[in-house]
Amino acid sequence: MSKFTKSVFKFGLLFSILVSSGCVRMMLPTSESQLIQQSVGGGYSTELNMDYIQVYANLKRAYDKCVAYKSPVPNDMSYIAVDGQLERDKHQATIEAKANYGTYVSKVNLKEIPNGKTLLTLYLSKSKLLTENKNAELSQKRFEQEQLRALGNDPKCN
Amino acid sequence: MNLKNEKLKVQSKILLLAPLFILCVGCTVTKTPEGKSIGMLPIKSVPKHERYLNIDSSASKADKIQMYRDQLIEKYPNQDFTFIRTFPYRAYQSYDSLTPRPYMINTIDAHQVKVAEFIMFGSKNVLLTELAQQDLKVPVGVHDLVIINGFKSTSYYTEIKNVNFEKDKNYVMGTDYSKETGSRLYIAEYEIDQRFKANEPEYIVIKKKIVEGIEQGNLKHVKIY
Repeated sequence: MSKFTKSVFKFGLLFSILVSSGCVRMMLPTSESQLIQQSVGGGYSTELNMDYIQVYANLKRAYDKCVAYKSPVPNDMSYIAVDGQLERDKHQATIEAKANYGTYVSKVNLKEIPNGKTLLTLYLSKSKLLTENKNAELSQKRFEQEQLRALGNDPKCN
Repeated sequence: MNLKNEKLKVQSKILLLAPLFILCVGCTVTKTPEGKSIGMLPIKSVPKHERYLNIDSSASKADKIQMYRDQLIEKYPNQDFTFIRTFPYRAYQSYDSLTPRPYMINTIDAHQVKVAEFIMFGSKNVLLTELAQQDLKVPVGVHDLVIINGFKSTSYYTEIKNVNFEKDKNYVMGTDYSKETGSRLYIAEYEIDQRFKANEPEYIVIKKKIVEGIEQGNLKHVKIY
């Protein structure tokens, strides 16, 4: 075995140990507050002309269909789990997407505002491998998609 | 040398038997969600014909559900009926071996509420999680209930006396959880929110709790099936 192959093998082994032991937690947010602090642009907000419960129902369906993920590969434990919470007494709702090792991918807050409208705020975790500009560009696209889904207008996911 | 071997043999026997002994003794006690230890003995099951609905093997899933829903009608002739179901917790929406047993009425005024028997390799099985989320017809008026729930082979029995079911109202069973009190069972009137699916927790909008704060597993008989 050449020196190069040996070192690649060693690096691979070390990398897989680090990943499997949860070093991912060092790179990605592991709590709601961390996600909000580190989110791209400090979060994106918009007002929607729809009741907050209807927005929540639309988004929940879309998240279940298009965001939630479980690897079909045997022994591959990667997943994205969606957790929604509707608090009718507080007139608000949240939907969180969480991945392996207790890391947070995104969070959307919905709050009822006067005239039957909803204030939607989306927090997205930053990708450390991308530049600030690329992060902002991707997040803007995702935010537009989120609004479409919130109004129930995404034919693929609603 | 021989003495040493004998000693080793005794030691290895102890090492092998001790965990077995601990396992056997330990298994006779289980803990309620509140952390109380309760005995799981006596190991006794209700006879099969009392536990399961008398269903023809050719019956469809829909027939089985209908039989479950209507089973109390013959026990309470000339009575008005209302409905009760379990809260559609997310845990009840998967159908694998790790799914806990949902809150279901085990007995009403000592009448056993029967369920559909699970038939190995059967294609028309209706699981407990599915049945629990169906509206069971219960007679209007004051009744004594025993509610069952649990996980795997362990079941908790919760007794609730004098539950008053009113006409034209639907009821749901569920639990409130707090760190101080643990899980406390309630029965509540509810309305439905059509914007959600029937198996989503948001589908049920709790209106008024007619019973609440009941300690889960207050009837200290745990049976193993």
